[in-house]
Order: sequence, then C-alpha cells, then structure tokens
Amino acid sequence: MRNTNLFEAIGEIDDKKIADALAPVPITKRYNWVKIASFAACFMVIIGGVIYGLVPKQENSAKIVTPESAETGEVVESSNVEQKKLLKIKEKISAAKRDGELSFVESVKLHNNSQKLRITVNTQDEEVLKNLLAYDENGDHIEIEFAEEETEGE
Amino acid sequence: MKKNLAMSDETILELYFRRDESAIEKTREKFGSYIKMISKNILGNEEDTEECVYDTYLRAWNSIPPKRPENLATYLGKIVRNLSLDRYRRNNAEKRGSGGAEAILDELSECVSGNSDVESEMYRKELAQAINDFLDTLTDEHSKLFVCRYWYAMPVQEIAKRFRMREGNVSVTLNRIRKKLRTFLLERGFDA
Repeated sequence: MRNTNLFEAIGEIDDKKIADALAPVPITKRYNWVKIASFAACFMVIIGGVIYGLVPKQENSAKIVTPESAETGEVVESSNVEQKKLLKIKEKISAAKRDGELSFVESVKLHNNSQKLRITVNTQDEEVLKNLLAYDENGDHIEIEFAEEETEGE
Repeated sequence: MKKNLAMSDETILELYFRRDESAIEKTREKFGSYIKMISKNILGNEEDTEECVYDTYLRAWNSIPPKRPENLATYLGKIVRNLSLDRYRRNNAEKRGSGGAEAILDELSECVSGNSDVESEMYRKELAQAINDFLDTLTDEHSKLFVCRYWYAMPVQEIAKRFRMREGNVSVTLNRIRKKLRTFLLERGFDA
C-alpha cells in the first residue's frame, strides 16, 4: 500500500466523522495541577503562620495552682520549667511541714521574683537543716532565713 | 442588523436540480471558505488552490443532478480534496511546490510499507471501511484530531489552536494514533 492510497482511503470515511471534526470544540478546563498544588502549599504555609501567631504560647503562660496556693488564693504564673520545679519543692516542703517531718519550718515563700524559695526556720542545727536542704536537689532553689529568737526579757 | 444570507443546503440543491446557475454563486457564498481551506491545506499555493476551487464548483455542477448528496459540505469537501491531491501529484511529478500534503503523506508513510501498489476501487473501499472502524475505537477527541490532520490536512499549529493543546502534544498524539492505525490495519490483513 502507498501513502497516497491511504490518504485517498481516508478521504472516503463517513461524512458524519468529517463534519463532526469541524464542530466547535467544547471548552474544557485543563487544570495545571502543578500550579494548583504549589498555590495550595503556599496558602497552607501562610494559614499555618497566621494560626501559629494567633495561638497563645501555652508553655510560657501556664498558670499553676498548687494545693497550698489554692488555700491561700495565690495563683502563680510560671514562665518556665525552673519555676515549675520550684513550686514542686515548695509543695513537698509544705506537705512535710504538715506531716511534722519539718516542724522547724515556719514559712515557705516564693522570693526574688519567684526565682527562689525563702524558708524561715526556727533552728540553726545543721543536721536538722540538712533534711530540709535534701528537698533541693540542685542546691540553688532554697534560701534559709533564721527566725529571730525571742529574748528572755521580753 | 446583520442578516444571515446563507441558504439551506436543500435550497441550494434545488437550484442545481433546476439547472439554475445561481447555484454555483450560492455554493461559493456558503462553502467558499471551507473548500478553499481544504485545498490550501493540501497545496499551500494560492494559484493552484484557486484553480482547484473553481474545478470543484464545476464538478459539483456536472454531478448534481443526478447525485443528491445528503451533506453538501462534505460532498464538496471530498471533491476538492481529490482534486487537490491530483494537483499535488502533478506538481510533485513536475517538482513544483508541494504544500502541506508532503508532510502529511510523509507521516502516513509510517503506516504503510510501500511494497504493494493496489489501486483498485474495491481495495480502497475496504481500506476506507477499516479506517472508519479504526476511528470508532478512538476517543472522540483523538478521532477528530485524526480527521483534522489527515482529512482536512490542517497544519499542526492550527489543530493545536483549535483543540487548545500544545503543538508538541498534538504531534505526539498523532504519532500514537498512527502507530495504532498501523497495528489495526495489519491485524485486518492490509499490507500496511
């Protein structure tokens, strides 16, 4: 078969096919998926950024209410993990004081802009005080204050 | 207000049957650009195109009646296509400009072996039927692409514009269709 024969044979195909080929081609949207995907990705990044900016930072503004502070109505805002540790120590010491283990402790207060615990004690016995300092594992959370002894004359 | 002056095919055919010479003028008004487009696609030459277009009107005048085509446009299209192909062959023999047909025949040569030179009318009818059957196996869009390229001899750029495709996509699609056609014809026993 020659190519001209084929061309001639094509010339004899159905009239309908010939007429249909010139009919207006319906407009079909050809989606450019790469463009759409990159646009969607950019959109998601922007939305993510906006949401991240709007959500308050939970870790840095947690309000911690200890059993003791609940009693006194003291609500402490902890701005970091160190302060959480401090409050834990405070809780433990307060509990031990209630149980009579640390009966020499007169008061436990947050001090130095909530960076340390100031513990007022009514003894200077080093052996006894060691029991108190054992609650502070790092050794830099507790400040000890000695209560003034009542003078005999008074 | 713009008036639609184009006559219906039936009215034009009536003019032919009454042997009213205005039939040719009405045909030219309605189908002139369509006929010229096909011829120009094949020959790519204004002068030869004009000649083929006038020969088409003459052939239509001489064949209607007795013929009464159901679709006047495709009837005229087939006449001008055949006349343009004949003119192409003559030009090619004389080594004159060969227009768009050269590229198309070159593409179609991928579908044929060129070993056999069967010219019989019967063979061509069978081949045309096989091509019809092949087009039925294609999607609507691919079928139209094939017809636009190999019946209307449209340039790839024009097809791309028409189907809102890239030229590269049109060429690749046509290439795949030709390969499918070759396989189809071989399966049907044609010496493609």
